[in-house]
Amino acid sequence: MISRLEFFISETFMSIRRHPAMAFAAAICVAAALFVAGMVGLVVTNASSAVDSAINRVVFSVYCKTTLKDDEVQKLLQHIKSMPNVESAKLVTKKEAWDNEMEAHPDWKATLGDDNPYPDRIDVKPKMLNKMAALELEMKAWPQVSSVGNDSELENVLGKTRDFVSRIGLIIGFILVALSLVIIHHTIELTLYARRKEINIMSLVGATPATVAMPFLLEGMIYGLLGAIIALALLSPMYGFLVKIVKLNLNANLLSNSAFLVQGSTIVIIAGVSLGLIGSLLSIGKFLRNPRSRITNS
Amino acid sequence: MAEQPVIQFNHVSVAYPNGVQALTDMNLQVNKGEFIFFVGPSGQGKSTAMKLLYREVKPTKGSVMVEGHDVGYLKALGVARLRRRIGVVFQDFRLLEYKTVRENLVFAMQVVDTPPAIIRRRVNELLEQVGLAERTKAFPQQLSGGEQQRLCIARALINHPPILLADEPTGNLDPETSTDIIKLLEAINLKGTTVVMATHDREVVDRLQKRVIYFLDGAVVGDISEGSYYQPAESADNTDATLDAVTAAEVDDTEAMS
Repeated sequence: MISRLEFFISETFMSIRRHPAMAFAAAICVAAALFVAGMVGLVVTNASSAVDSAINRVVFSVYCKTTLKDDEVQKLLQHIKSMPNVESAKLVTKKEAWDNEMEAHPDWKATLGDDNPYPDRIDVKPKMLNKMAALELEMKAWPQVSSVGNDSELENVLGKTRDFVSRIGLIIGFILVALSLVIIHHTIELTLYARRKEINIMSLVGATPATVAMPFLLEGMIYGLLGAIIALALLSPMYGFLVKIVKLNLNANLLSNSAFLVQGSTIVIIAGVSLGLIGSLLSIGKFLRNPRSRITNS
Repeated sequence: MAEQPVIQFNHVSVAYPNGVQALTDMNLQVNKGEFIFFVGPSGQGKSTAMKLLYREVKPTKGSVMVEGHDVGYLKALGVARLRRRIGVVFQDFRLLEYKTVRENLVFAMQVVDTPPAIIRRRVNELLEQVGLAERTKAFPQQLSGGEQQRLCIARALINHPPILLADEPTGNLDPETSTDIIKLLEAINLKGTTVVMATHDREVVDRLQKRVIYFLDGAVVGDISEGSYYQPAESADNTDATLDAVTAAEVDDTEAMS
């Protein structure tokens, strides 16, 4: 088993040593694709995070009818809290509302006197932005509720922004993944062509298709890994620089904690290796399925 | 003792995708331990018949049996197993230029999962057998044509195959070197390996007086035990008018080449 593994690894590295320019070109192409994909990913993640954080601040208010007694208001609060699409609910009593307003606008007291016009209010935070409209509609129909207030414009803008950013990110990501696959696929095809004599001999002496394929699969994975490492080496300082610029000029914070960066790096490496593997699989599969090209082109 | 067929062609026809009819209704049985020649002008089906045996080509019609297995129905793993039972020697050697003599053999054994200890022993045995024990560190381009062909034969023998196919093994060699290669193939045959050799080398065929299969227009037109390259039509027991045709075609072919 170990000698078999040694054989695969030595064949893989021998191939890379014999075609260094091809290996370099493949790794650079993958690195370029992963670098751009990584930048897009960082932008999308940061934009989504900003939108999510804004969404977290979105609440809508349910105004109770003034005829409701305290225990009925409490019952309504508990019911809202128990709803599956509700993240949290907080009661603001008519007294609290009055006190808040008087604190914010002391001059109003002269006009309003001691007559408190505010009803009891329940501030509701939905679990997901897209559930907000349905919740509002449902609550509006309840007999205990006089009205429901929200900031629907903000809700729409945030939702649309997030959808747009995700969609653009997905499209660019898909294009880059496809591009990387094509690059690795063609690189491995060139390697296969350059090594067709070896493949021919392997096949003639009775090597199984898996044995023939393995060094090429490893080769593709190494190109992917090298590409990912190069991309990370470029992405990491560039992102650090971007974090500083954004903080300095926009007074905003980009995601930069270590867990996020470790997770991002892991994703880039896994993506690189997977792209290499899939690209090689496409080439070697095609090559092994067409035995005439294997034997007669030697 | 009853003869044991190791190779059987049963009504085999091969048509290539480009429309060329390479073989038509070929029937042949080769017994264990035989040394046979495939002769005939170029493009008459000899190489296709060889390729059928190691499943480089599949029959369009009929069946090819090797050691009792119908090779036409083998899947990828079955083909790999078949090729471990058949050694193949080519006119153009097909050696890896960047590997030494020893490394060429080691590589061929590694790809069939041979344990390292067996590889060491077997490679030394083979190098002795083919007379290359002193040239282990040479690269193919540093070898003579005869030495390269010996290395090719050694590689064909790595798996102790019961069948050895040699497609024009002396085609690129001078007469003296050809004689050495044929002696080596005879020695291998004497150890029990069935040898099938396609050749245009008249001297070799005439000297060895082994079984000769004549190909013409993709068909076997003669099967003579202890035959010669140009088989006189009247001297063959089982010949018919077609043998006159193959003889004439051979003469034309040889004249055309010279």
